[in-house]
Amino acid sequence: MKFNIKKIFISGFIILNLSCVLLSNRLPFPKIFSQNKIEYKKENSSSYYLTYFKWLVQNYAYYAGLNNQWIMFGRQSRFNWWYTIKAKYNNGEQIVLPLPRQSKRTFVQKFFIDFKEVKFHNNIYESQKSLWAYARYLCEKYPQNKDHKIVSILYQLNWQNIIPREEASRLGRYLDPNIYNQPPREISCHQECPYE
Amino acid sequence: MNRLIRCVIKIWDKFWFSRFDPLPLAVFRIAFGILLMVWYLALYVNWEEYYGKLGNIWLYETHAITSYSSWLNVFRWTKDLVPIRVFWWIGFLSAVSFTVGWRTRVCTIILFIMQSSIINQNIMLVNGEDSVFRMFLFYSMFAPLGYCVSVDHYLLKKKQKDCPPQKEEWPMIWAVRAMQINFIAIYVFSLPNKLADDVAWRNGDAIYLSMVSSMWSRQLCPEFFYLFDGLFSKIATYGTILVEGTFPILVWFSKTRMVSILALASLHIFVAIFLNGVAFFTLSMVCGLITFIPPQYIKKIYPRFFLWI
Repeated sequence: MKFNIKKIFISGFIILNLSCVLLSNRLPFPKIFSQNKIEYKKENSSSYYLTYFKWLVQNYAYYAGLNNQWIMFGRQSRFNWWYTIKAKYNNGEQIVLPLPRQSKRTFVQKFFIDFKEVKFHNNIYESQKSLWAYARYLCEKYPQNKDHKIVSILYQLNWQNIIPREEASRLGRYLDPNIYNQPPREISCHQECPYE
Repeated sequence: MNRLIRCVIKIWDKFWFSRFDPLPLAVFRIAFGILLMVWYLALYVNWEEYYGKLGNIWLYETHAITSYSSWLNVFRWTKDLVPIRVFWWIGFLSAVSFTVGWRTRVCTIILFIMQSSIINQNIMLVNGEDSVFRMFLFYSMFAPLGYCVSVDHYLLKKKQKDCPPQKEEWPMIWAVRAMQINFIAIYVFSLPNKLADDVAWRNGDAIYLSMVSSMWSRQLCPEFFYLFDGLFSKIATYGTILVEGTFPILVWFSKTRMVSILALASLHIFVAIFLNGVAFFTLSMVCGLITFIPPQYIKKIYPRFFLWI
């Protein structure tokens, strides 16, 4: 059996990479089974080195791109939601911006070019910092309407509940006819990012 | 004890360092390369907006720059020096070169750096395929992707005027194995989390909920999934659990390998057809499945083509 120095290095590299995947992901056993909390003693040098080692591995995992938490189509939404994004101009006029998810799109745009839009909206959902950054971008993209300058961006969150499956089967429809919405959230175009 | 250690080393050696026929890896490279090319084409229109203006606002005006995001982001290193459009061409041409297998290793490294930059430049736009592409490209940097069915191989053969490499000259499998294990880990970790996080995966309503979602679904016959007491939703939900749950085990046995690969590929293609915004992610998973296909099956499908190559 030939197990040379090259193979030892490669084995170490393999273990490192797979450790990254293991450290970044957790099986949901504590949610299913009750588990006693592990308590670490404060003045324990081995636990310090262990934590430091874990930190190093996590850094490596970040740069190697092995720090993903794999949750594929996990939690399903019980309601449909969407933002209506408007620009407010200095004459008080509010205009629905011609953005991908709120304007007419061609087939190619809808099924090919706009492929990141759904996840983008999902990622910025209720994230103050992301909503601010996007508003800032929209202010730069649509600076004026006729002769009027842009003042702020308005995000209005709308949602419509999905009827539970048994009830949908009985009623013959899957959406609650009522559409709900939150009062618009206004983000000024001249405000610095208030979120650290 | 000594015997046990030897036995473990022997198994480890066989699993990670055996020589393998790299033909499935070449097919993976071609399929994945084509997917990357199409992905870059789809990003062409919005590239400057996504990674230029919006990315810059996100990074520089929201205090989003951390010790992490400042690294491995080629857009940031070259800000104000190189137009952002140039990187689209670099990524696209690298994907073309990767597909045909010309300077494969160099192209893989470039594509990996591009992918990391894309993720770090605008975290708001990160989609499932970004993470899977980066994972594939990371392992691909160490794998013999250009070993056969490539321009690299053709040029080497022409240079050496030699016969094709013999079995003992084939490359070691470790990088492909690591990619396969990470690929399997996606299912190993996501399935239990699915079951724990949402009751819909346990009562058979998960596919109904995704099919009627205006956000995720292409709305192709959503009624189908609640009629007949949700029969189709239950079949699809439990079928998904069965296929995802058994794949990590069945794929290692030669008798069940092809069945589990075909079942999972069908599932991902079904997702690409019915769901919106996840096509690149789910098709990248189909590409990953190619690495598990035994070379004899590929030779059976395209015998003349590979004979010619």
